Amino acid sequence: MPTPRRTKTDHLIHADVVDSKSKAGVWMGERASFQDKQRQILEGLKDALNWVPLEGAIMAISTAPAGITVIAPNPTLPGLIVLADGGSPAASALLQANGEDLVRQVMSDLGIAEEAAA
Amino acid sequence: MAATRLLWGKYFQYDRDGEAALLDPVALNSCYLDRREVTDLSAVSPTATHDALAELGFTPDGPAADRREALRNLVLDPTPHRISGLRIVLTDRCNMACTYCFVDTNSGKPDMTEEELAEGLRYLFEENAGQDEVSIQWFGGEPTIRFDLMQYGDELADRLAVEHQVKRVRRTVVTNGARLTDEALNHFIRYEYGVGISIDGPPDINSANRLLLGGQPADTRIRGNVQRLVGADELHVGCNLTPTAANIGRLAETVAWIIDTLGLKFIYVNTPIPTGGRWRVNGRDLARELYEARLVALSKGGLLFSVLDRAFQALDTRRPMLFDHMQGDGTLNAAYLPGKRVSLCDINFTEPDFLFTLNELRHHPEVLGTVTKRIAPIPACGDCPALAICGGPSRNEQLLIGGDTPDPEMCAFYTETVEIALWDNTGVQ
Repeated sequence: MPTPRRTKTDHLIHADVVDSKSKAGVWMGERASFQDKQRQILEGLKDALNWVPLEGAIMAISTAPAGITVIAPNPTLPGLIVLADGGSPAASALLQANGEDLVRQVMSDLGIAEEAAA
Repeated sequence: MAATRLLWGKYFQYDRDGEAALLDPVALNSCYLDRREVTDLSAVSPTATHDALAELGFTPDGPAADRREALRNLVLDPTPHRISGLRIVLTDRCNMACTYCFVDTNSGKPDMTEEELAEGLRYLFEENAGQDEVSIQWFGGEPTIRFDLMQYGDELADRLAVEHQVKRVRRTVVTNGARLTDEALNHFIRYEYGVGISIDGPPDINSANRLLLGGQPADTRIRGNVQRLVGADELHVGCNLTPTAANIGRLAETVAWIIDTLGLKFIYVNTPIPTGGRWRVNGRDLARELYEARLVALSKGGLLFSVLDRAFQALDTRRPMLFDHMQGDGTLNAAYLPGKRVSLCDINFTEPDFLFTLNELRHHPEVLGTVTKRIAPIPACGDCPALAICGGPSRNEQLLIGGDTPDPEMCAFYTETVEIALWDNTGVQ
C-alpha cells in the first residue's frame, strides 16, 4: 500500500517561512511560544496516560537515509529503547536496524554481554 | 541514485534505490512506494498499487491540465491589502563595510528625523487600528548608531498602540553586533526585542566579507557582545547568516560554531538575491548544504530556518508556499526610509517601482499591488516540480535579473529543495 506523506501543521515556526526571508529577527519571537506550547502539550498528555519519566534519552539525526532515531535507557528494564522514524518506510526500517546494531556494537566495545530476550 | 520522470503526464516520480516518491506539483500531495509497488505500478493497470494510488488521489484519468493555471486558481489573492510592519531604515551609516550588503551605506545621505519617524509610525498604527499586532524592525546601516531614534520610536509606538488599540508591538533589530552599549542592552530587554545578529561564521569566514570600516575584523568585539545579549534571558537572540563564497562548502561547520561557540541556537539563513543580475551560488549545492546544516543545528539543540523550510511546510501542509512578497495573512512588511518614503520591497530601497510617499499610500492604497508576484510567469514553470513552492521570481528578482525568466541556479535550488523535502518525511522541525 503506497504511504501518503504525513500531514503536519505544527511546524516550529507557524508563520510562513518566507515571511522571514527579508525580515530576519521576526521568527525569533516564536521561541517562547513553541517551547511553552510543548510544555503545555506534555502536561496534557501526562493527564491522559500512564507514564514514567525518560531520563537520558537522545535523538540521533541521520541524513542518509533521512530520519531520526530516539535512543533511551529503558527506565524499568535492563535494555535500551530504539525507535526510528525515517523519511520513508524503508528508511525507517534501515534506521531502526542501524540503531540496534550500533547499540550492540557499543555494548560489545564496553564488554557488556547481550542476553536473548525472553 | 535518484531519477525523476513524469507519471501519467502529471505527477513527478522520483526513483531512488528501487523505491519511489510521487508528487502532485499543484495539489502538493505526495506518497511513497516500496520496491514491490514500484514494480506493480509498471504493470498493466489496474493493479493493487494502481487502486491504492487512486484512493490517495493519484489517477491516470483526466487531461493533463495547464498546471500554471490550476495553481493560479488554487491560491489566494496575491495582492497585499495592508502594511502591517515596517523595517525602519534609520540611517545608512554603518561601522562596517560588508562586501555584499544590499544597502548603499555611508553615502552621506541624511538620517531619518524624529518628525519623519513619527509620521511613519503614525501611518503604521492608523492602518492597523484594532489589529492584534504590528511589527517594527530597526534597520540601517547599523541602526544602533541612531539608538536615540530607536528609544524615541519605541516610546511613541507604545503610545500609538494604546491610541489605536493595537494589542501588541513586535520589535526586532538587525545589528552587526560590533557596538552594544549597556543602555541599548537594557532597552532591548525592556521592550522584549528580538535581536538578529548578522554574522557569517568563525573569524576566518566572517572577516572575508565583514570588516570594520578601517578594514580590521570585529570578531572579538562581536563575540563579547553576543555573550552579553545571550546572557540576558529575556531577549530572543539569533543569527542572520548569509551564504557567501567563504562559508559555502562549510555551512554545517559554520552552524556548529555558531551554536557551540556563540551560544546562538536560532539561525536564519538569508536567501540569495540575484544582485548584479544573477545568483552567485550553485543552487543545487546550496540546497544540500542547507539541509545538512539544518540537521546539524537540530542535533545540537538549535534551529536553522531557511527558504528550504518552504518546501517542507508546503509538502507537509499541502499548501502552496510561493508568496515571498507578503505575509501569510495577506499583509505586507515594507521598508520605511528617510524622507517619508516607503519601499514596498523591504530588501530593495532604491527601485523606483517600489517607492511611494506616505501620502500616496494613504490616498491610493491600490498601489500595494505594485509588489504583487506574478505566479509562474513563464511556461517552463508549468513543467517544474517546484511550481507551487517557488512560483517563479518575485517582482524584486524580476527587476534585478531584468526579466521573467528565473536564474538557472534559482531553479536548480528550488527543484533540489523539493526533492530533499520529498524524501524527508520525518517532520522534525
